[in-house]
Amino acid sequence: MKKFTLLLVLLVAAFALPTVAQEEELLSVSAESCDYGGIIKSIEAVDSLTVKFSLCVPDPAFPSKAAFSAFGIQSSENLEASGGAPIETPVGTGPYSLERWDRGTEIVFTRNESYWGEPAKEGTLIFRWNSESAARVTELQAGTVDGIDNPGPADFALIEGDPNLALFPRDGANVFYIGFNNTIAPFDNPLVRQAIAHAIDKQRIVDNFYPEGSSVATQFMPPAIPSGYTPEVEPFPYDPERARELLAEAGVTLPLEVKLTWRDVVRGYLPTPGIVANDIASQLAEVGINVTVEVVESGAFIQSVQAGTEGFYLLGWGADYPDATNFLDYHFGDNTNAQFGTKFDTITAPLKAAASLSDFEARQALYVEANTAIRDNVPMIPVAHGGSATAFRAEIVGAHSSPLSNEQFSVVEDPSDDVFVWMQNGEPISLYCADETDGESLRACEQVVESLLGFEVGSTGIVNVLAESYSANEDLTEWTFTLREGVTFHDGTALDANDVVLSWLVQWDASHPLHVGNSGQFEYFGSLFGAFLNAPATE
Amino acid sequence: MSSTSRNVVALKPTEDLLGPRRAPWRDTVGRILRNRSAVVGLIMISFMLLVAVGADLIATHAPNEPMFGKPGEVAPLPRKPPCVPAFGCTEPMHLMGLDQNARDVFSRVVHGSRLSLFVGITVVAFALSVGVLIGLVAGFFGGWVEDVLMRSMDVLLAFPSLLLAIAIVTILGPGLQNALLAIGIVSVPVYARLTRASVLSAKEMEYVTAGRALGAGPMRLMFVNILPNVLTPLIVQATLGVGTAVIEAAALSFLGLGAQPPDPEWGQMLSEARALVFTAPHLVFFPGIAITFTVLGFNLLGDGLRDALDPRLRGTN
Repeated sequence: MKKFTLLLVLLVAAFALPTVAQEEELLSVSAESCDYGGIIKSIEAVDSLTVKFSLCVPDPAFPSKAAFSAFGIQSSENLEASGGAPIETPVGTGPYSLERWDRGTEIVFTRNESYWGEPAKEGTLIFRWNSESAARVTELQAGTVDGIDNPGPADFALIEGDPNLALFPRDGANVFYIGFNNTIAPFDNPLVRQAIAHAIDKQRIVDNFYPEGSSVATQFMPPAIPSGYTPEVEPFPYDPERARELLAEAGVTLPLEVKLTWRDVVRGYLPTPGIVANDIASQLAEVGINVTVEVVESGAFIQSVQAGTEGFYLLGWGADYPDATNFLDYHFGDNTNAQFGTKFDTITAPLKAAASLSDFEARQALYVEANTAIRDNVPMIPVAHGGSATAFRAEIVGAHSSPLSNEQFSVVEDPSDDVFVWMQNGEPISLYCADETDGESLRACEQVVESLLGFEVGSTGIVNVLAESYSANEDLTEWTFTLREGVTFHDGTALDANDVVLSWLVQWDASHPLHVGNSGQFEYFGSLFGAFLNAPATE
Repeated sequence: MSSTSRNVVALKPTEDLLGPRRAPWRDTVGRILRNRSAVVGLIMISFMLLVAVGADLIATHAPNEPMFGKPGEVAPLPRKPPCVPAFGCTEPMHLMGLDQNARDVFSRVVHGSRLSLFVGITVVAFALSVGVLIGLVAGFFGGWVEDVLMRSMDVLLAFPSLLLAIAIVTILGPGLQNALLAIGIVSVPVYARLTRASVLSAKEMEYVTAGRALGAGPMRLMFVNILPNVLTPLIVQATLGVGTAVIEAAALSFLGLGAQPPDPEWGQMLSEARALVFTAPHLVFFPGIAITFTVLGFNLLGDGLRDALDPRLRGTN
């Protein structure tokens, strides 16, 4: 095993000397080298209000990542007091603080009276949940809740027709695709993949099996995310005649027998997986491809797809942060898993070049190249961007939906009383979102804990939150954040650079005593920053 | 032709003397036909058999063909309720509506009858042949052979049948054939026990003793002397068993372990539409009715057969 040493200049802060105006020791951590596999080189507190991140490779998406709620800043005292797992006791700087969490029933948040920005409109915010969409709509109609997430597609018309309710469609910052593995016959033949791309009537799928607000995917990037979305790249049109020609050209014997695998899990990008799988099978039957549809258990399915053993499968992707790297590089870049089989140089090269540029136009030009290569090589067929919605009672002020599903309730006001009740699909798993990937948990965390940057309400634009400003060096490998002055945590302690460093460090450094979390996986950190420092060897 | 009629004429005097002579099977058929539930069951099953055989003629569409882009169809198509022109519907006819994939439910239910009857009959044929063999051998030989065979049947019976079928399918992998095998294996003990019980009493009968005294070997005793005389309860049980098998196959398919999409298996249809039970009830109603109808038919016939064939119940109708 390779061994890494950590240059850790860590001294316990001088809490014991309240009367002496003593400078706190500044926390600073760096990896010995970039060989550990991750992209973070060091995190330093330059002074009490300045934090500098040095990276091993240029990362233009770093601000998007820093805005993501998995990298929220927690109070250091609380992180230590909870042993690195503030699962039910998050202490952040947000407009609401956690009052209590009745497991199985509700979460109650109270307004943070000493919030640094615009205070929350309502004194109390309550989160409830119900997995049945029909039940959520019923509660909204009855007025027992003020806003709900994901009304069922069948209820959209009902809500729009009710003068007491208001619907807020959510653009799909996601993509549903039909994946191929180009090492498995007959999908190793590009003509077969192209033929299937011509044989799929995406419009029919979106019109019949997707809720309002969904759109046909012309490419892997959803239009809701400007970076990487290149409308000039036209998809292959639906043309069954051309599909038959291509199949004939490919020299396969018809009917071609293939197996299509999917998992029975409802996601925003694929609200009715079984029905869509059946429809794809019947569409392909028309061009002479006999599809056997096979459902695989979700966990086993993902594993098998990533290991490159599924030749033809249904999968999708939802945005973690609004940047092309989260979609394109994550799937088609150099270091991705084997889900599409052998990599295409014509795709990986422009992606790699684009990832180290900061100029939007220059990046877009490379993404046109990459998206064209993706279309022509057909590692997958993008089918749809699934829309969903939130619904509120009509009199609620500031009601909105967010393409990233991170609705912010501090701007929401219920004129009739001082309580806002929100009902979502499920109960949060924990309120320590560094170690959660579930959207139901993230939304709850976002009310309490803030990150260095954040997203505009109801949009994907990046705004400064705990950082007053930030800047990067020329080649995008050093990012410096200047913190807002006078921000306090809910426990009364003041925010300083050490809190920021520690909140990141406990995720980054796998050997840190506070690297505990809920499951200990810290999934998002691992996938967004490549690897953990001092990670135990995997034999 | 002519010789037959001459014979009848020749027999006439004897008939007058002794009353009409009837073959035993005619006696039985007569009793069955006098049993109302047996007749109703028989009619229901015959109807389903006709539907299954003539599915291609009866069905209005191909079972797996979506109606998208078909002439006259008006969007939105998925989950469209039944449309019967006789009741004033102006769109193309769909007697039982369209399903979530815009396929004609009527055609799917009709084609589903093939699968369900095939499942029921195959399963019972399998379970019957294996079960009867085990029961015959166990009952006839007794001793350790009986102990080994019947205790293993007891082990099978100790599991809830559906749970055991699920376990077997999990090992073999989902699919209609494997589901058939699983339900078949699960049904074996019922027939084995029934056969053994009948064999135990039958093998003490004088005709068996006579056969043995005449030097008949065990094979002849088992299959020629005993088997025909223990068939009655087996016929009843097998008829009821078809109904059970249809239900269990539907249950396995409902759980996603039996028939796989896009097969129009009734349980599979119910499973795919279960989330839509409130928005599109016709998707669960018609396959549900089809299962009920078929199973009820076999149960009525089975009950009727028992009443007609069981000497102890004879005359109590």
